[in-house]
Amino acid sequence: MSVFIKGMGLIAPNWDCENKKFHIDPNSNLIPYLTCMEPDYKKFINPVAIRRMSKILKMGTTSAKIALNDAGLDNVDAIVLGTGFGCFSDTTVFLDAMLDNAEKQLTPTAFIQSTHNSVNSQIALMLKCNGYNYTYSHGGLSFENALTDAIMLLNDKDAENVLVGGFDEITDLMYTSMKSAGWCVGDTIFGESCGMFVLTNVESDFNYCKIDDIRTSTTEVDFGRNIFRFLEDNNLHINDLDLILEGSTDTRWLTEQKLAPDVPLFEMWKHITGESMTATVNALNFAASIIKTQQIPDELVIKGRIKSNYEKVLILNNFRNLTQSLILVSKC
Amino acid sequence: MSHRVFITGIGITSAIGGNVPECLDSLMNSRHGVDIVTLLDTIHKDFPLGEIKLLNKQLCEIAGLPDDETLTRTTLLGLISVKEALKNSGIENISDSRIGFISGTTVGGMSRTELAYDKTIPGNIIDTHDCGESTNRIASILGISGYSATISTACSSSANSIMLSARMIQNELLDKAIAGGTDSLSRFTLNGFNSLMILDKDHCKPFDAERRGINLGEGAAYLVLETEESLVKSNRKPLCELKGWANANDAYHQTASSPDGNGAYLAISKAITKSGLNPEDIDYINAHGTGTDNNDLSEGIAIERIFGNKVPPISSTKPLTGHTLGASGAIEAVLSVLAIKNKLIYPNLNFKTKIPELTFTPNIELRTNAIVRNVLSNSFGFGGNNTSLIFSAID
Repeated sequence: MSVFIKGMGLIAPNWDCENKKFHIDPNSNLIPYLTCMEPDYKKFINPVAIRRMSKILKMGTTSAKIALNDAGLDNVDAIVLGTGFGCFSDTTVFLDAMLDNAEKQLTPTAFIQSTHNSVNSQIALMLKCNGYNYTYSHGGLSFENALTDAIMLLNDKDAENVLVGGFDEITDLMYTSMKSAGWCVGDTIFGESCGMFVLTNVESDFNYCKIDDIRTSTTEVDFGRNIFRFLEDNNLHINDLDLILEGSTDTRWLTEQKLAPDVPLFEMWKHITGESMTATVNALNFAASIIKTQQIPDELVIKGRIKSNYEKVLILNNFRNLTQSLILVSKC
Repeated sequence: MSHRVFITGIGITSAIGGNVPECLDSLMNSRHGVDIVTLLDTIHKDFPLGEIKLLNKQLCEIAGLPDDETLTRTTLLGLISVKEALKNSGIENISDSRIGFISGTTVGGMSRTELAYDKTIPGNIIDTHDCGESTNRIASILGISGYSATISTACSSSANSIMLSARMIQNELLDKAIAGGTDSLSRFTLNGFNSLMILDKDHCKPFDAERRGINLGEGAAYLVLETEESLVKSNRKPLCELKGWANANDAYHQTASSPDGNGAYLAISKAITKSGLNPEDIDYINAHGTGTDNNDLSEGIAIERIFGNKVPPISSTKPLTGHTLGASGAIEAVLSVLAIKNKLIYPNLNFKTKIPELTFTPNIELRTNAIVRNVLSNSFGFGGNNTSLIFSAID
């Protein structure tokens, strides 16, 4: 059974989610991390509901709505999301209130919204979706967990359309904590994003692309070898790839010293949309768009040999050398 | 897709015991573990908790590790139960890539985050905060290298781990899985539930007309799931079979359950359909039964919609263990397995008065030598996340 991307919604730094193209923010270097270009949420979500929502809830529900609109659907059969840090901002709001007020007279709003599955449930509420509803929070593989599950639901025919996505937000406190914890090595720029996809097992001319395979690993010594094993299992040679979206930050697996000259065209997207535990959502969105439009946006900086068409794209992500994921997408 | 899924090992640590034999002894004696707060540093000493009365360094010792401040309480509780489950199942080659590890937790390393947050302890608030950290740490200490995932769907987290594992086994993605969850008590959680005004200052009274709320608890439990083929290879006898599972969403409110219990109704009825059983085949229901006004009524209505006036013996074991949140689904799964193996139906402690809107009352005495072939275990969480599992005796 094949699994296709039918619709997408992305809220990310330097990305205009309404027009679905890059919009480089000239002021983005004023703070040491990248924040999302937020849309006018009222265009997508009930304004009454918006007032009670924190930023991550607004981004989650809105990007879901954009993905459903893009797929031409009013509802899905299942909602499966991944998040590394969950609703971190609400978590710290509640922690601050708890410590400042010595555990007295606390209001529950931030606590309720801090729950990792609050974005899932807000989307379910918005759509009145009674179906399967899962939230994964597994570090740098949170979105990959969700994608693996969504593919299984479609293979089992437990669902025909699944909303799958990943989200993470960044705050000043998160950034300073990451910095002091030694996470900001090399040229890593942390960011945030919220990417949603409608996956389906129904073939259609309107689908963006096919998801051929996904694999994850947590054993660093295997990261290099895994790429070749993964391609082999999909009956491919590295030269068969038309593009690699490479999400390493401090270690460049595919730079000249490692795998060249075999490497085809490749691009490292994290300089535009930033690093986070669910940064893969950005690359999957770009890969699907490139395959559908056969165009690479100017903002993505290409290295390597240029190919005339884009049929097979490998997304390679690596979070802090702790986790690695490989996703192979291809033309329908 | 026809693969049957068997349980071959269990491990548990909770307020009623640090391992399976201790918990079984407490269950046989209806001895609860909900008591006054002695470990958690909070001003809310008036809410009884299901605390595990051991310090982190004592947990390190039990886990066979040197005292390590970077190991969160969530990781330690999880580690102890995973080790017990592995030993119980007789798994030898834990690094086999066909063995998965799926864990659930609500707040991961929060008990450590909140101490670093106000500088009570040194260190940053990020390294051990995220939910996946406890899963990865346990996997790395034990050398588990197969597929791994962490689920955080509030109080149904670890029931969902068990369900995901079963689905992965049926899809032939795994031969075996270690599935469960872990959660430690934190000030964050206690204050959060207190701000919602759903904690009971007395011992909780699930399914009682006078119920006032939850007693929180902590703990961990893991089960080893295997295919039939894998059992043939190891020539081991399973403890029971996992026959049914389902997850559905109430899509009603962020924290409250719907008046008609629709999400719960969908989860229970789909799980029964999946198991191939009929409602009358269920011998015991281990209810979610938190003791809140809202849950017990909503869950009760859903149960009546399915079982009519023939509701099987039902009890909530949360007055025994406290509500262990992300771990509760797995803890109650282990209790369900023990009910089948030992022919037990547990009492719903502290019950006095029937809920007027419901027709049934919970089972209040421990029943021994009971016929317990099929157990339905419910786990419902915030965000309307409802999961039901069905455990069955081996034919």
